[in-house]
Amino acid sequence: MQPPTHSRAPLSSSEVAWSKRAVARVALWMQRNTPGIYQWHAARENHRWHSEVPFSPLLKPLEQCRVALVNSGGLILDDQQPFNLAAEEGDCSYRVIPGDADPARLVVSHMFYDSSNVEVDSGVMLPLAVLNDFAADGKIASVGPRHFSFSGGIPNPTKLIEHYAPELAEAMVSDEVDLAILTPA
Amino acid sequence: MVTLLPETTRKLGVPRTLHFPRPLGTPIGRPGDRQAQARDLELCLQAAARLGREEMAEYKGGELSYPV
Repeated sequence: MQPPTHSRAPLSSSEVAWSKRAVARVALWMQRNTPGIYQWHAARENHRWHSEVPFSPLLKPLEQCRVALVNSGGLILDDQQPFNLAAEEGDCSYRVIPGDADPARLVVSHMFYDSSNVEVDSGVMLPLAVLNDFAADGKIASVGPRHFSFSGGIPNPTKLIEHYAPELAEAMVSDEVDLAILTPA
Repeated sequence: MVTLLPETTRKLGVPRTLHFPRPLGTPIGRPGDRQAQARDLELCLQAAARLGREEMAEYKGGELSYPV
């Protein structure tokens, strides 16, 4: 089994200051030991980003749907640029994971959650193999050609809201995706 | 959308969510357990098809509990 993520340098496109790594360790400690307080803190911090979110009802039975996956667990392919974990306001960009990606090539570029289980088995964050099984069994019509990863822990998601999320939505429309399942870090 | 932080999700007004009461870092199933991953992903699909605006389903005792 891989050692816990916090015991080695996070995979980042820029070197992360020790102070930010210390904050990440505190966050992981709170998630593990004081989850109620962590939840309260997260809710308080994120409340200011509340806005009217459009609701799109599912218009087809699941058996006719093409499904894609989106995660904020920082999963990237080993030859993709890591997220910039040093960015003060967070890295709002995403990475594209092809539907036929080899799970053995997926690595984690994130430091604000315990990614131990994801590093052992990426399927707990990006269940592509299971999704492909569902398509083979007829539970869904097909799997989207592209899936998407963000790296959470973004203090200021303005660029995500105004640019990257709309861009990603357009990509999924282009891929004729009917339904996206979002999995958080 | 799967949530592991339901209070945050409620405050943000996310359209359609499924809460798994488990620690951060393992939203779908368990590592090395494809059956558990398939169970959880199937629940996600069912919730997506059934939930309405700003509704959250809760995973309790092996089953999904939908809002009344």
